[in-house]
Amino acid sequence: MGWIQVETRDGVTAFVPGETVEGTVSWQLEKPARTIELRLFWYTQGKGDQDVGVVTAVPFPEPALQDRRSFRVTLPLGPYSFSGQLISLIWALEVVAEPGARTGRIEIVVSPWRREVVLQPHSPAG
Amino acid sequence: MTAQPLSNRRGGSFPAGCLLLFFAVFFLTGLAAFYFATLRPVMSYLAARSWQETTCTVLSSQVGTHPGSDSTTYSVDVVYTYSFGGRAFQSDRYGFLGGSSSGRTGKEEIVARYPPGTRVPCWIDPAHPEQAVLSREPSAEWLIGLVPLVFMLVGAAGILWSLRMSRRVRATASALPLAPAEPFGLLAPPAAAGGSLELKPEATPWGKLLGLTFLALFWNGIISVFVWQASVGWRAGRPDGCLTLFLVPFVLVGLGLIYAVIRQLLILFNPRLHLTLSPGTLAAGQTGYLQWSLGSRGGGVKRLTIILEGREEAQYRRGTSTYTDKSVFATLTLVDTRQELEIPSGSTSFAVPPDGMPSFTAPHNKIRWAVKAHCDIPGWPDSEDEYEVLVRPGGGA
Amino acid sequence: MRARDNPFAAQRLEAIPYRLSGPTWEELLDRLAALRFRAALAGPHGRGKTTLLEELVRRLAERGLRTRTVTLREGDRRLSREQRETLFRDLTARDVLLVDGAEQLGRLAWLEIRTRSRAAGGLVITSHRPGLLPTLHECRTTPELLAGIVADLVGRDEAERLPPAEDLLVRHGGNVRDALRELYDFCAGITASPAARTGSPSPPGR
Repeated sequence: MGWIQVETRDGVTAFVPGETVEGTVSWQLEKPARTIELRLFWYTQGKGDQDVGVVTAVPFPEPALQDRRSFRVTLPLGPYSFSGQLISLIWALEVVAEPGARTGRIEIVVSPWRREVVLQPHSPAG
Repeated sequence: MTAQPLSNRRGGSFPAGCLLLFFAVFFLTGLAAFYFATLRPVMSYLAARSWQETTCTVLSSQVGTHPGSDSTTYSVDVVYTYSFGGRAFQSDRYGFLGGSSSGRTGKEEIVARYPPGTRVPCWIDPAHPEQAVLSREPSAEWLIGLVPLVFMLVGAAGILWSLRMSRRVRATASALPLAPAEPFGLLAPPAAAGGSLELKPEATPWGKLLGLTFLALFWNGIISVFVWQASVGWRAGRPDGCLTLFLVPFVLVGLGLIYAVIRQLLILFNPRLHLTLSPGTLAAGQTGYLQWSLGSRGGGVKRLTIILEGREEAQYRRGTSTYTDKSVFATLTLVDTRQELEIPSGSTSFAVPPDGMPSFTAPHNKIRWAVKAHCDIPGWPDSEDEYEVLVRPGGGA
Repeated sequence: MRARDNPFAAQRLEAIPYRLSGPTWEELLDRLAALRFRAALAGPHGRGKTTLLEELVRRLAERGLRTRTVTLREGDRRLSREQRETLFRDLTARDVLLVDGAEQLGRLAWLEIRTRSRAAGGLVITSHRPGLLPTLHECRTTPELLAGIVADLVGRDEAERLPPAEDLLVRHGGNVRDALRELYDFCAGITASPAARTGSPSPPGR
């Protein structure tokens, strides 16, 4: 059974906006891939329909059946990782091998405090 | 390996095409009606300033009757002859707006001025002598053409909005759902960098009135047809109970809309709250200043409340309809006063929490900040306005 | 509860498979084949038509058929250029066209689909009203169905602390999707009236 995965350096998964994320993508595939690409993106989860925003896509040219490649991406200034009652915004690094849509993904946190911003419901004052 | 790539998923597409068609129909219908009812007569009136006056002989004059399915309309039917350049012409044109309309009395008064056999002045186009009119004066009936202007405005606004949405759709029509260039999906309003910004309400009182009026006219216009039908049955002693019962909720909604229009009309006379925010774009951890002014009509306001609110907005589809749910996560009271001297104008400073969530916008999910102002006016509809503000990340973050 | 942790978040609901009651999947697919793969999934809002259509994609693929899907929204009286491209480009007998929300289409657009889909191996639609094509399956909901979905999402123990499925379905007129959204609000602690919302005032972001 093949596999494909992405890891960050030292397993760090909390970053501040604008920081550079380094890591490696590794795979062992049963069938050759035409393209393998790492994507830095955010997505929403919650009551609303999902939004997805791909910030960067890093291609790995001429992928072999088995390989390990390093990457370096710079995070944008936002949006921040957050969770409220209705919306969670989650950052992730995802590596995708096509054809076949074989993927590996890890979640990361992006915010000035290196933790997810939690929005508590609030009663109007006054 | 995980399942389908999450980064491939696309947000819901926007049906800009059919919306564009819908609003285009509104616009074109209004434009056509406006052209024929007002614009064309006005253009003819202006062109006729250079027409030549001559004397014509009335051959016949009467009020034309045009029975319709619901009512009868009337027209001024005067036939007259005249000479120009040695040739004889005949015309039946009274003014620049033809056709027929309600109101028989006015037309009878006009026809009475043109008894058959009399010689009266008329105006002819020297370039096209077959074109003549008995009256080249403007008519109040031309104002009817202003009603279609509402349809044109609604249609034009809708077209612009649909085009904006479709540009956004085309911009994101790449293979991957790309994040917007601006990190939080929002652009700062102009002239806001470091400077102050006069806040504009999300909907102006006139805008609300226009929208409500259009909705009330549209709704009650359609319902009135059925109400008329039902009333005809009641008056003829053959009431349609099912139709009547069916119409009750719709009539109630229509009455509610009329109430809303009247209420909004009264609100037009409310004092206008002018808010100025410094800086124009807030930042987490920063101090902001808000100035307010109610103007000369602020005397009736007995309590002024202004809050800064942060909220989540999540949009989702339910069947084929779209809904937006909201959840408030932050409320800062900026002003809450009943003091007569404080209400008409003043200023206040406030601190945006240093760990405040910045504004964020995506097609279906948003973090929005807004200044909400409430003017409590006893014995009169209160004013409530909302002004969107941008909160950007703090400088220290 | 954070939005991402809510068991009734939209993305979790999308992952719920369709629970077929009545015929088996084999029987359903055999009936579809007997209808020459031209049929409709009928039912009012929130009965699972779209979910069933998505399940059909997988099962048709197992039978060696390719599918092309377009989803129509309220007011979509015609197909867009992209939707036409998706449906009709290079059609073969192995392609089955799936149109979700076909009742939205105007007569001409529906006629266009009927005509141009002749080159395809089949056409399956979802519709609120029967009549456009022979009905393959009428999607219905029951309290047992909703209870089963809820139990799958939160576990049987936790499901018992939630509003009863029967009450939810009655309140929402049989619409499972709306019932599940109410459960989202329940888990998130969202009440109908903002004034009734509880939650201690705290600085935003904490």
